[in-house]
Amino acid sequence: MSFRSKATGESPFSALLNLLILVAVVASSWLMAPQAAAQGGNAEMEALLKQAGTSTRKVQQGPLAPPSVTPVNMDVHWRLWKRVANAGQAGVSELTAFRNDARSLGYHNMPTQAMAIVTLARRAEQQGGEPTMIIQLYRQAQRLAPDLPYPYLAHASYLFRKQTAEVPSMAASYFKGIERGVRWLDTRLAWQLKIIVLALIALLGASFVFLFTQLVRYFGIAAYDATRVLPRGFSSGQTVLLTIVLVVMPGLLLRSPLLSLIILLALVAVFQQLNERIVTAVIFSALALLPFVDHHMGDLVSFPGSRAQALMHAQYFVCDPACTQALADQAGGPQGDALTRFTHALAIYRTGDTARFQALLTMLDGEPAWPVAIRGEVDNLRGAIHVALGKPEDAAPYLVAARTALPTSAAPSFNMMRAYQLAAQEAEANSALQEASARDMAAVGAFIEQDRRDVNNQLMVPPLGLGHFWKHHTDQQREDISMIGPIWNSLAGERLVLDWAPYLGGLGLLIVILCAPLRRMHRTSTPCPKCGLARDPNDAHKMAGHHYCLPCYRTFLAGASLSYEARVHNETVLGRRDRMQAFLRRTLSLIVPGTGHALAGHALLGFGVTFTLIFAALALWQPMGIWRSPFELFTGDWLGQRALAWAALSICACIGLNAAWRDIVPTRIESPRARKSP
Amino acid sequence: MSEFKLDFSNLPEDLTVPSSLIEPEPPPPEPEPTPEPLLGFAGDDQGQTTKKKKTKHSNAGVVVFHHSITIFLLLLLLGVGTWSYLTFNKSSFFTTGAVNARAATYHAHLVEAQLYRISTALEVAYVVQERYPAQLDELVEMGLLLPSDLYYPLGIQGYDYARDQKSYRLRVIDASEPEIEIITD
Repeated sequence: MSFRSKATGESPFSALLNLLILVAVVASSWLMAPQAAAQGGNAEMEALLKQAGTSTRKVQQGPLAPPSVTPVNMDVHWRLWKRVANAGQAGVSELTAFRNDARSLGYHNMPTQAMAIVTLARRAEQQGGEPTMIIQLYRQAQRLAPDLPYPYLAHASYLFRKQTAEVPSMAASYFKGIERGVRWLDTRLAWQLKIIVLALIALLGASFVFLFTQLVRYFGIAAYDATRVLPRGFSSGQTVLLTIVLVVMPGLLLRSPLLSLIILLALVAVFQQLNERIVTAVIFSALALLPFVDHHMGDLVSFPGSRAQALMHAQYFVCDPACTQALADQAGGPQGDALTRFTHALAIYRTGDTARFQALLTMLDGEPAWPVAIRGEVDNLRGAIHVALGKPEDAAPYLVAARTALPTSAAPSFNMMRAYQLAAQEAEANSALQEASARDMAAVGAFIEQDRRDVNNQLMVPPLGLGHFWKHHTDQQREDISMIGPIWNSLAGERLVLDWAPYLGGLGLLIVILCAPLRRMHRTSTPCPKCGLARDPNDAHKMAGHHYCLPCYRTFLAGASLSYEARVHNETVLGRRDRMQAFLRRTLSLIVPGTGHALAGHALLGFGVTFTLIFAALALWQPMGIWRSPFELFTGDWLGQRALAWAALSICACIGLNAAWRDIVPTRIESPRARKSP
Repeated sequence: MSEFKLDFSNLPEDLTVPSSLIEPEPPPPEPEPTPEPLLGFAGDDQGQTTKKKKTKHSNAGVVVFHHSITIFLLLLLLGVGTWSYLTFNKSSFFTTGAVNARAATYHAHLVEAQLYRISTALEVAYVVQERYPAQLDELVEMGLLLPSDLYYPLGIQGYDYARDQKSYRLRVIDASEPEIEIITD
């Protein structure tokens, strides 16, 4: 049996080693990041202001010209670049020309080309290519798809494998990749869905294990205390039978095994310690939240192929004439909404064809009332169109409104700078540029360096924030999707529907909270740490509040008070129980780490270990999760989650092995202080 | 004749002396009355001494009540268990139509997402090679897709793929699933 990963060829031990290095890198980079950012920021600001001094003076009156390039130009640059790249060079100038053409045509991201560059960079790496060239290729890929995480993560991965001396660069690229992955909906939702699914399965497994340990630990105590409470005619055997009936019967009546398990958990919750009670509360909370989680998962899994995703791609990727026509059809159709119409307007604007801009303004004005959430972007677009038409005086009111509505966006201030330029107001233009730079220096820096006079280079009209697309998706009527439903049905049966889960979970939480004082006031029995039998709270005064039960106390601590035969008998029986308890703890720890801890009363640690173990094992088994993201090519290990999973598995295994080797000391439950005998 | 006496003082330490040769020790004093061993099922003995004393003197009514409860509980458990067993095969834990229909809905979304993923890989391959691959396996060989991608999500038999110079057709091998046809200029 080989522990070597088929996908990466790495052994878990090298993955662990890599992880340790990564942790060191991340820590050092995190410490150094503010200083580096401050230094970089100052230099960038100085350069930007220096360039702004000349940029604001470059004024050419009249409407902006349409783009002077076509997709054919892009194709030529791309083919040129491939020829250069095949010759072993990075081809930065060809890719820059390609990107400039794409920008003039209004292409915001080009993920296909970016991933193609990553493909060739990986190929060059396998063929022992020059590291400088490979790094340049990754940087060019980042510039072609600035909103996608993968070029950044691929860059970080390469530096991690080959250029370990480039620690700050690697960490910076890794964090930028994660930042973009969390922002970009296609990746964020896929990652979110993966984490939720793995966490739910791990929670289910850890809950079963926890319930088993609590059953072993507390069922006898429940039966004992029930005997104390019930009328005199009930014996202990009958109490056990009655308890079983109470637990099993509702499940049998509703033919729902899960219901019996829930009742069982609620039953033992009456007697639990605080840490066990917390775990039980977590389980019941998760149960109560299941329908809401299920609904959210339905939203996540229905995003691929949705209209919201199509609109997002139209704004962030490339919207060709076919895409624009489709948007026009949708915007004019019965299901046309504000987001679709804005996307359509943006697609027309990005063509740069100023002949169509007057019609575009009419279209924008034709909307009865744009939603407040996107009104700032609409005003910015209107202002940009007026500037592009060479009418700065008409643009001003819209840009002022947009500047107020979008307090963190550089776009309205930047476009205002262009309007001032057209009006030959240099001082105001400088002031507007400074304001734009203060809002978003990176965005301004990317635009100020352009000298092409087309709308996509001269004016800043960014796509809508990604939150708008998610909101649009969740607001849409969609078909009823349930990912938890089939699993719930197999566990709970068809009569106990998922909609009951909040009531069951709420009831369980209520029991956990209401019964907490019973334990606090020492009204319930507790497990003896020696033999595991019930320790009656009424016996506390007989043994000065010791944490043993009365038989263990008299046998092992106050043995002189017993006869020889009685002590030998007790030692035999109790010793056997003690050894059995230790055997159980050790064996279970070996089989499923964390089980022994939960059995010994260390519930939080035990539950955490079992949960982590299952989660990590599942992450290794299905690293890509349920929904495989469209651009997550090459590997399912973009974030290095295999290394993290191996580390988590190793830690859990070490905890389990340590417990199996050394045994776990059971918790000593505090006892009421000695009281006078009644 | 002098009296012969055994002397054990010089014997080696590891020698076991038969107990019959050793003068018996005086019997130990009678132990003081101590509590009885406190074992057994917890509910019977622990802390229940007061209750137990009372139950010793219980009358026949309590005994009848005791056994009645036992019989009742056993019959209840037996009855419910039997009824549940007899009707168990009517329960469909895994194949409820409504639930499966909802599951099929999300399965369709996963298929659609996977079609998009494969088409992305095809586009990347086209941009790199200036042609679409002859078979989907080429995408795996190029490292663009994982081997499992061609059979994902679970429940499908694979993907049907055909290409020509400038376009391709991709669909999942399942009549009810969506199809993607891409034509590039």
